[in-house]
Amino acid sequence: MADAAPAEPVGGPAVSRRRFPLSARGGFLLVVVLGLLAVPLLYPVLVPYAYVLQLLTGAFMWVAFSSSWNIIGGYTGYVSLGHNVFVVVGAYFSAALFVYADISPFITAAGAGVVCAALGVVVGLITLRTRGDAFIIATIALMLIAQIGFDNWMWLGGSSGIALPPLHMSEAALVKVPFYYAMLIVAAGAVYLSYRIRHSRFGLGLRAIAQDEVKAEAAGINTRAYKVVAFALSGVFIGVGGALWGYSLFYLRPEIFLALAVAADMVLMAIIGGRGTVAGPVIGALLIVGFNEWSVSEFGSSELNLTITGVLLVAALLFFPGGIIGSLRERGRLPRILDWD
Amino acid sequence: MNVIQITIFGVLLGGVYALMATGLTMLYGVMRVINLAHAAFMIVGAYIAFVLYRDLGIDPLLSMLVTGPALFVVGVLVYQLLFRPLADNPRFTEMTVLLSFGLALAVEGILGSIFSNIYHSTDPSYATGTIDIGSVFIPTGQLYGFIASLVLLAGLWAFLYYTKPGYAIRATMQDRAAAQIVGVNVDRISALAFGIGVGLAGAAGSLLSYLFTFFPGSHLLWIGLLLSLIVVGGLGSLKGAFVGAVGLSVIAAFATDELGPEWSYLTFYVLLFVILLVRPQGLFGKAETI
Amino acid sequence: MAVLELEDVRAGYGSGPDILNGITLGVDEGETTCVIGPNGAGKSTMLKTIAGLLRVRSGEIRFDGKRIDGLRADQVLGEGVCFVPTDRSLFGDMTVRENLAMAGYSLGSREVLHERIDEVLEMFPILAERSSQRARTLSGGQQQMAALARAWILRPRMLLVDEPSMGLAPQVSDQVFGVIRDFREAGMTVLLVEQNARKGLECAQWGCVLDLGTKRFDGPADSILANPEIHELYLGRQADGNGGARP
Repeated sequence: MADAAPAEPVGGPAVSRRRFPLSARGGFLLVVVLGLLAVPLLYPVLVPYAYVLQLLTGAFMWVAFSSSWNIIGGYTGYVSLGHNVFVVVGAYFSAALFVYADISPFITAAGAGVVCAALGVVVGLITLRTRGDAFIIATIALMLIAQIGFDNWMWLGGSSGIALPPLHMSEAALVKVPFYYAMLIVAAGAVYLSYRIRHSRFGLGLRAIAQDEVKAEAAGINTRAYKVVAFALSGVFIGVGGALWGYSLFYLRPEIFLALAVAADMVLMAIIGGRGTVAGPVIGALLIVGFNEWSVSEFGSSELNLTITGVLLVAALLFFPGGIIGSLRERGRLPRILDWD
Repeated sequence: MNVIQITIFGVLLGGVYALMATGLTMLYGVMRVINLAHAAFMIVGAYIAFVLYRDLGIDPLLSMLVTGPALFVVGVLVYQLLFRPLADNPRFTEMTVLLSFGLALAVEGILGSIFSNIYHSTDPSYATGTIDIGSVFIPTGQLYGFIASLVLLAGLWAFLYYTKPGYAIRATMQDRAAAQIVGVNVDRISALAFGIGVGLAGAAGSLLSYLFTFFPGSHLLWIGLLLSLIVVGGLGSLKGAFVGAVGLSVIAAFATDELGPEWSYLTFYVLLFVILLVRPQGLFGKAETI
Repeated sequence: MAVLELEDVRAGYGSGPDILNGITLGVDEGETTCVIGPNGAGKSTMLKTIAGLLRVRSGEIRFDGKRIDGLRADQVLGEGVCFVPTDRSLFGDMTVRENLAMAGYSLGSREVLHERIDEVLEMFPILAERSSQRARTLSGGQQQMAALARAWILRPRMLLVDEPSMGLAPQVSDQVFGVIRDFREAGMTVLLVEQNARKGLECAQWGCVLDLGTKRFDGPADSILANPEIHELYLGRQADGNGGARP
């Protein structure tokens, strides 16, 4: 969105006569990022250290997941319900290289992202030939294929899973630290990618496809190419995040990643936060992670959680289809620090 | 196992799959709705059958008289409360997918808290019986399920081709705007179609209850299978649903025999991708320009 | 006497902008009115809105004094207004006969329906020949005939026809306009949207020019045809059979 004051570019000026080099928005983000970078340094003071780091690491991961899903599901309007396939592929890619070639997932995680992008291209080329309806179904089928595939892939442990060599640190709690920073980078990368797409011609094209694909095609946009690229990009940071997630568990089983709740949460976060916006998935992820934490400690069971997820999704779609960001924007009440579009 | 035997398995199960998939493709045809909760409703039907069997001794086949109508009502309600308000939304199909997805999750959650996550099934005597004919045997459970499915599908066909509302549903499935112009109240007809579609799923649930084991999370597997099936047959095509169901079921039976049990499901997904490559509109669907 | 009145009607698609920007016009009973105008003017949108396929955002539509904005499409039909869209909207997989029978969906009696189907097949021998063919297999002109035949069965008081000559060769579209004249001779009011402005105005008594969602001019059809300014703006420079339909 264009700023009201013309001489105020986001994140830093080319030429500016203002005294402060950053806009309010950029400043806010900088403070947040610096704060997050500093959290692990509070080692002796912060209690419970491991829990907080774990919670935040999880939050970062979900921010990356939902922001990535948003690229295909929000910007392009193509709902992918089997998106957790990228998680499991990323996780097992790095796990396999770790177990069989002794390369740390911290190094191969980026490769996991590339692999997922390639997978996205292949799958996209097959499934994005027609309008959205068949695509959605294909993503579900893909997840189910992955379930069967990974459950039966004995070289990777099948359904019993695969164990990874654990990471050792001087203090047990400090094990969480490298994952914290790694996932923070992943989240930052995913949000940055989302931001750049949103503010590019490519992103404009995606939004045109979401509004009216026939018109977009008529206007000269190569819709198929755009869709395939969007789908591939939407897998990158999910693959990376998945690789790190798998490593952090030290024991991978397909059902962890291919659980319906994983796919559902990605979708829910983007929708509750605001599908098609940059800040929406971030807000949604933070909210839902927080909510899940609270609800698990209150109610424990996961069935109720699933019900609530479903009900929230239905309610959001019926009453707040724009999500938090969208609804606030409609009412003209969106604070500038959250307006990243 | 010989070829005839495998084909028998495939065809018998295929009839049941056809019953399950017909409602789903009908909902797409009438209103371009992809009802991801369809299998969840089927599982609800299965649980109703289970409870009726366990607590009242009612035979699963007989319970179809309960599950069908009960889920018919659910279907109409779901249409009125959830899908109808979205009718004017420009991104309708997308919204209905997400909506029905949320609905499926909620249903799974509710079933899970009532019944817990263990496997269930009903076990009437015919579930394990067989009729032996020469070198092949016909499992009675599948046979009765097949017959019940055919009866229901025949009834549906008669309804669609010989009654006025049935005609209206077919017209609406072919061209919603055209149906409106000739005087069809597409809103009421859509409600009726929804009721019928979900009702068929409910009735199929009764069959599922003894043909397969199930638990609250089963719907995911089933919806994947059914959706793949109707895409292969052609979204919105009733003929396609039937042919797709029986055809894929037979292929899956052979694949399972040759390659292993996971292929009873994997076949459907693989063939989905094949059809998307080769003929994206499905066997009986209409080609789209995009 | 105006049987159809639009008063300051605004309408659009989905949540998009207004396509109709406050249209006010009246159509007299028994007359044929042709609406012309450039692409995007809102001509088809106007017909769809009258027919009840699009919701009116503001303003009123009255048929015979009774408000019909806000009615569903099937209710509008019940009031006696029949819509024949550009794409003919036949049921492609049904036969011609079945399509005609579908017209009877809103008719009460089956005998009347069968009588009228026979009547219509007599009027349109081409359809009689192809009565058991699937509608999808008919040519553009034949489909248009079938769509008009379907409307004839309904004996509406008013017929809304959207671009009947679309995609048809000149001789075929002449036949179509002939049928539309037959409707008028039977006493029906016709509101016609045409891209081929000349042909459309020639078969009408009243003409109306729409642009950017509002009415620009209206008047007797032959005076619009003769008006050089309107010719220039909307009918194209050459006053021959190609007026209006320029790429």
